[in-house]
Amino acid sequence: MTSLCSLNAREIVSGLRKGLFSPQELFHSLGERTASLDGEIGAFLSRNKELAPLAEGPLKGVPVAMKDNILAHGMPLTCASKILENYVAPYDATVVARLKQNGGWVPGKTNMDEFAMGSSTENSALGVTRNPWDLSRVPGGSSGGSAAAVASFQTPLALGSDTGGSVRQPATFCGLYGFKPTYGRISRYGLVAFASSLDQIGLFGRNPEDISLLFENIAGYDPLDSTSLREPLRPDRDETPKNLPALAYLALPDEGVDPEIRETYPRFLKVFQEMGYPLEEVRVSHWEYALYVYYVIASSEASSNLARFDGIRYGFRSPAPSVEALYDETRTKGFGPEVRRRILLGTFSLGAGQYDEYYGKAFQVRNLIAAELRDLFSKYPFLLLPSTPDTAFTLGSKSHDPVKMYYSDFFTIPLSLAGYPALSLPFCLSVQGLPIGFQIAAPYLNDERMLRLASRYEGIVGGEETLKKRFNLGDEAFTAPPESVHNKDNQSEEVFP
Amino acid sequence: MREQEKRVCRLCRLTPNEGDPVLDDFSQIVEWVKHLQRVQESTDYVPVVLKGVTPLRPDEATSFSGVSEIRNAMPESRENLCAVPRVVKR
Repeated sequence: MTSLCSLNAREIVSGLRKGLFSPQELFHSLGERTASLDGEIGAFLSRNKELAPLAEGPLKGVPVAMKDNILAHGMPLTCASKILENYVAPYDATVVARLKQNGGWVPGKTNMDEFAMGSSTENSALGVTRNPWDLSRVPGGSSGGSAAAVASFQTPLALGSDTGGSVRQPATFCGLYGFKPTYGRISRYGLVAFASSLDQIGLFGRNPEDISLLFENIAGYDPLDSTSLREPLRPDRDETPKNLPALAYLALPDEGVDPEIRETYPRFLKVFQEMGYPLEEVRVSHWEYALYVYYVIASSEASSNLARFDGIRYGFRSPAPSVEALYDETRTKGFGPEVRRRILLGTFSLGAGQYDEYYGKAFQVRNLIAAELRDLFSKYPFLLLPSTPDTAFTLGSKSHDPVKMYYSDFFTIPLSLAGYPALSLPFCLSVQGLPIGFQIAAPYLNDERMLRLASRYEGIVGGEETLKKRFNLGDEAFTAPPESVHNKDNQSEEVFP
Repeated sequence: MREQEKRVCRLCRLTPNEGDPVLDDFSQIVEWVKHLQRVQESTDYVPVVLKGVTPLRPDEATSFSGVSEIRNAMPESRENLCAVPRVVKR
């Protein structure tokens, strides 16, 4: 039964419908894989020990691992922080509730940088996660545990959170598809807040159609999230137009991009040219400021959001002789170095003497970036660009240089600042055998259209097959033909005739 | 103990990391903001994608009775901000 772990989400739905295996067999197969692999990788922080009865629905039987900042009732919730040790989630996040209502289940909670602050998953207080492609390297972050779990076939799908690139960057490092929807498309209710104007739940999968299937069943308006969008989901069934529009691709900066990624970029663009799309190079003049904007705004919001962790309400509490000392001791000992750093930065930025000059200015430049991207997307249906400036780096190589680490999100942050949907795509392997990936971004609410384009791309590039070969799952893979499960009415939908 | 008290931030109640390059006189963030100041165009201050969730100034929000203040100040976002761990009976 070990080959069941190689199934993707659509194959699981199909196989269960046909009675080829039971949910319990799948549960045990994935559990065995985790038991054999995860001691080295460290993707999961906790696993569900039993499989609860499954609801009927389009996701019936599909396991979706959760980053450990998403609440799942009765399961631990740590945010990979000492300050939330032994905390158990008292309710389900909206995404978890919708997953369960549609027949899915949560195999476990995955490791992350503490409170989602980091780009390597090395900032976890509960141990590092290693990249399944090369155990001496990081899986990216902050959702590194989710990425590593999907890449190592411990689960077909996982959720993470993407504040400045925390889904797209680890997806690239692990050879996966990583999707950050339009801000507001997926409810944030039950996601522990880091930077509320940027946080968005994102999806990891080994192919875009799995991601579409999950997205369609967890996205949509939620009255419990005031930033949730009311626009209905729009599964894009338009036929491909005869005259394909030109796609934009971002001109690379002169410095700071790994030579191998720079050399590979034209080959990636060529895939779209061969699909028939003309390409036009574009520049976004304020792009270079995005990193500074992000670290002022995200740190400021974090300093407010994380004020609630005080040793009184929940989690870790350091013994102290007075209330004031209890606050100081609990927060200083409970938060790790990166979280303390960002809270202090944010508190400084929001101080009365700095507020307008720092936070106010950052928000102004954020608006300029958003306006420039709005103008770009009024002319082009998609923007192609790198996901990361380099491939997965070795553990410890950047952890002593925070600013160098921050640069990992150079290509992802501007899209987060403006709330646009974006998807990282696996492309090829580097000379060292590490995944190289790129990114597509789209106008607001064009999430489904972007996923359709990605499906065509996957048909050409074959990222899922590359993963199976890497983990020796290609030959013994389960071969049940996937049936279309996108249409909730069970009407067959041929996505790519 | 007295020495340690001096180093605790009055607002966020944290002790800075020893020898932190980013926090050293906040020089890193000062540098970032210098870059931002080069952007001369004036724009609105209104958040682009955010509806109702703007961090409060620390004197309003990061005191340790701050949670209720945040909730009261941002009624639209009350549910979402409360989404982070609720009080659990032990």
